[in-house]
Amino acid sequence: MENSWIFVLFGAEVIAAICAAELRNLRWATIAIGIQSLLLVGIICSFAYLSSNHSLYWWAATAFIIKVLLIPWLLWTYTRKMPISEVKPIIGLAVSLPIIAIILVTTYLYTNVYLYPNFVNVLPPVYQGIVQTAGINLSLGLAIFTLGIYILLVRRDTIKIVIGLVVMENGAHLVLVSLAPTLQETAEIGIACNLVITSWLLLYLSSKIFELWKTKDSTSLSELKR
Amino acid sequence: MEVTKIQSILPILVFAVPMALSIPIFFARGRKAFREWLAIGGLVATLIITILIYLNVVATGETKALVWNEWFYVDGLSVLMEFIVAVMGIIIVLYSTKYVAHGEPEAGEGKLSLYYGLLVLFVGIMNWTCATNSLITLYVALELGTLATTYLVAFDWRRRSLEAGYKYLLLITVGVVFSLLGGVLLYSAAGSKGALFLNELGKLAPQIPHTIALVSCGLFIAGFGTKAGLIPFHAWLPDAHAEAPAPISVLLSGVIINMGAYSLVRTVTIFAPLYHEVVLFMAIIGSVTMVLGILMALVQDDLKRLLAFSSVSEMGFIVAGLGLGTYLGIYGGLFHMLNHTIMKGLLFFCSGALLYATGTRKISELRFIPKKMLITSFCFIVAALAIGGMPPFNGFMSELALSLALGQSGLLWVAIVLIVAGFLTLVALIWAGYRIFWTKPNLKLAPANPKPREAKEVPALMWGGMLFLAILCILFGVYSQVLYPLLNSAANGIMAILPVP
Repeated sequence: MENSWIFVLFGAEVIAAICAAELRNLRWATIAIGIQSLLLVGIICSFAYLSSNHSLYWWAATAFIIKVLLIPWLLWTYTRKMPISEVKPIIGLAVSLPIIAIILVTTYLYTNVYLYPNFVNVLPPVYQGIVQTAGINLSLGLAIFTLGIYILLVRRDTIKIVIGLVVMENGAHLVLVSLAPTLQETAEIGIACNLVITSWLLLYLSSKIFELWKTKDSTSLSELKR
Repeated sequence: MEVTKIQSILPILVFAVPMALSIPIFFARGRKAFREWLAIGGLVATLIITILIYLNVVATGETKALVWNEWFYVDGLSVLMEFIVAVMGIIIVLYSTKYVAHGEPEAGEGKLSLYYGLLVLFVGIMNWTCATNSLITLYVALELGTLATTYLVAFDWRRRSLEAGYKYLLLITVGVVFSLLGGVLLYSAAGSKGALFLNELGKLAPQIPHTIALVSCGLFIAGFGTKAGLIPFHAWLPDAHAEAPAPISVLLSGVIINMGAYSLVRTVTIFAPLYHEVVLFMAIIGSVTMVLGILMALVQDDLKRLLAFSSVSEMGFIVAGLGLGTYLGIYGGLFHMLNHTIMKGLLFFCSGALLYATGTRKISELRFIPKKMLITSFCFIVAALAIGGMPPFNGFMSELALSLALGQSGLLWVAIVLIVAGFLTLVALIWAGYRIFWTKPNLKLAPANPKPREAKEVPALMWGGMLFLAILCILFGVYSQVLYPLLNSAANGIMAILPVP
């Protein structure tokens, strides 16, 4: 298969996302999210090379600074203020891994088989020579996006929830790479900066909640239901 | 209908000025009067710029827009939103000068500077949302608005407000990402840069394949619907509205959720003339939101939560109208959006006044407010009657417009749902008002709380804005034609962009 090396990146991206989801040590999960973001940068650079679309190199640079450096640094900093062990999730590892596998496979197959014929005509002209690769990237992006939503739904730890948000945004970023590679750099920077500020604010609020009530468990934030 | 575009710097100034003036406010510690005057000055300057835009865009009677290259586009709809933001911003700041200091006596200078600075910055960000012509920048600006207000929602820094702030930020961020995916899908499907520009979306809409158009609309409804507080994406709304300080609740209800509706009319409504599925889906979501929202409001003892659920319901009214894609539907939806800002803003201000005077917002504990709070009780009743759709108040006129629009579009069942929801709203608010202002406390049920009996009217800086909004409720009901040029321009601004089926 041509460009088979990019599929290695795709596979590694999925593994890193699963590690970010399942590692109970939040520092290791932070490292996993940093690696996942680094692989994302690699995928963006690969598309830039394959499609000769040099604006994607700016995307990669932005993603590197924000997703590989800044966000993992923020997560690392806040894991020093709170316990590094994740609050016990709603679903344990033995059940969670098969669910993740089902989510990833189902989303990927649904997108690549059912939706893809609709999308194949909408992939940008710049991907004319690599339609299949771009299509697979699109499906992968949606799968990782769905994985991010899964993390947000079943994880109780407030730091793991931020990690889930980053996984979700990384999935959205992959979708952007497939569908809108000629998007203006300023828009790309705006989207990425929003993620940094959102992550920081969520971590800040989590740390304040922990400081006052000694809990990282988001399900204990239920005073307002009463 | 062609839109005449005029190159102007005003679309930039309308957001750049408040953003720039917010910076010294953040550093104005220890200088209370300077900070508050700067905030008011910044918002008054914003209002003046908005009036200048109005004179160029609306007052001429033609369908015009001010543009700055292709990236900023201010038409009648943008002017309407910018007026709402500027006027409500001024009233909120004036109200806050008394309310915040009273509610947070130990709040440091830094915290108060942050409060006013974020308020003014938020006004700038909202004006940027209304001025931008790019779909992606619309998403970025909406998100920035969420970030700017998170601290304001959690301002009290108590457990409940921290929880509300956390949920507010998380749920809206997750929801709004769907709208980004929808925008990117449209961009890709249209195959040109044009799909990113809001004023070009109508021209490209017929070229977009059916499935992709509907998927994009679904993503926009999920994304912008979260911001607007539509059911089932409303989970953040009651908590944030209830736990935020009262002036911020006004901001949330009168500005933030309106921005969700604004984004929907800029995106989803564009497809309404082409696909009846879009109209039907918006009507269904609107109907469910109208009914469920008010039913949840009926069972609340917390006054602010009651008002919050009522806001959810009112957004259903607005979206049902805007989703029709007809002139009367859009006119009625925008009219109701404006009226809702006034009516709900007034109600939240009243709830803040009651909390200021008595220390509680529970309806069961608020009983028997003495006649010393005449202005607050008058304002509350006016707002309750207005939002319940009673003539001669403004709510009646906008609900009438919506009902006629729905009937005209063949959705009579939605019009009936609207009327029923309106009636339930009237019941909920009048019942709350009756229990608060005309019923003696049942000491067996409510804890003995002497404060309601000792309460006195709030300071003039608080009731002044309330009275102004109450007068608007009456004026826009009795003489609603005063709004016609603005609403007509706003509706025509959207009609000019809509594709011909």
